[in-house]
Amino acid sequence: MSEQTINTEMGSPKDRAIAYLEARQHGKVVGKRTKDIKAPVVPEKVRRKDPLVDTVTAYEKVIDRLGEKGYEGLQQKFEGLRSFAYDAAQVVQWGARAADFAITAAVLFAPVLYPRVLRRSSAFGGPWPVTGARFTIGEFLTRPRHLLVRGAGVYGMMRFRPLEWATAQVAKIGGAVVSSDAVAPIVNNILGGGERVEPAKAKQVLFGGAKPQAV
Amino acid sequence: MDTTSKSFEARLTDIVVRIEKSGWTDEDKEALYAKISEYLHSVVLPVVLTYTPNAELHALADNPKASVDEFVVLMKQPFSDPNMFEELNTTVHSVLDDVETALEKGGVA
Repeated sequence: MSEQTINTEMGSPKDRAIAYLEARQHGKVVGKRTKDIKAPVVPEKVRRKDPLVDTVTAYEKVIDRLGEKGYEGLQQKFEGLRSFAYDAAQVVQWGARAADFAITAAVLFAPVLYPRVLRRSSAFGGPWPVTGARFTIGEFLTRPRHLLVRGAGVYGMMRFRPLEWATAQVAKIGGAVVSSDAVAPIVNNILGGGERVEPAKAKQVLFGGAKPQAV
Repeated sequence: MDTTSKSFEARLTDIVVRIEKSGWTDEDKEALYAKISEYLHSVVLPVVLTYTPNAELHALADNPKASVDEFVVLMKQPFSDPNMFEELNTTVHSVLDDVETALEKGGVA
């Protein structure tokens, strides 16, 4: 059934809305409401992953085996899901920050640590007019041309902290999902077998039992 | 996709407000909430399980003495991967895109 057909044939506004969601979820409108989590509308990357059907089956098997007691235990264990995810994101972000500082230090001190390599390099106008096996930090810090390149590198790294920024974007996105009061209950219920929640309880699952109020 | 300007929670709240103000009967609203819930559930689980160690999950499924603690340890692994959150975020926002379109088709302003 096409979207155009949905618009013209479905009766009430509710029927049209639900028919559209059915079409988007299953790729077609089904006459009778069905639940088949093995064939949902999922990202292409996930859909291509063949073993996923077996994975879902195994997951359901575990849930069934753990039973009601397991479900309740899982709910309790995952009450701290938000803080757990936040902590994980923080660790990743601090790791990236440390990496930024390490790269900055490398930019600053690389000529001192590896003078022979740079002396033979033409990247900065070499060979360098310096004799001897190694440069001192003072020599490098007082050479205008080198200072300019090094200064630009250090400024860029400290100003933008690219690795930390990139990681922060991921953490921010992750936080938007998991730290959300709306999503956490959904994820919790799904992990605990809420996939098979009865439709009548869907609203409770979605909103944690609180009746949504118009604002 | 409106993934950057509004959080999932804010978008979902807006949707709820629109439904509550729609003038639909309570039964119709409940039916739509059920559909939204089902749709969200159907896309979240596959993403989470994609990042769950497959072999360990199968081993747990085949173990008659599997414990809740073992299961919790296993399921914490996908939640340690930031990529999962990113993919999950994209996926659930795409569902909300569809819900918003569905509301328009249902005449909900």
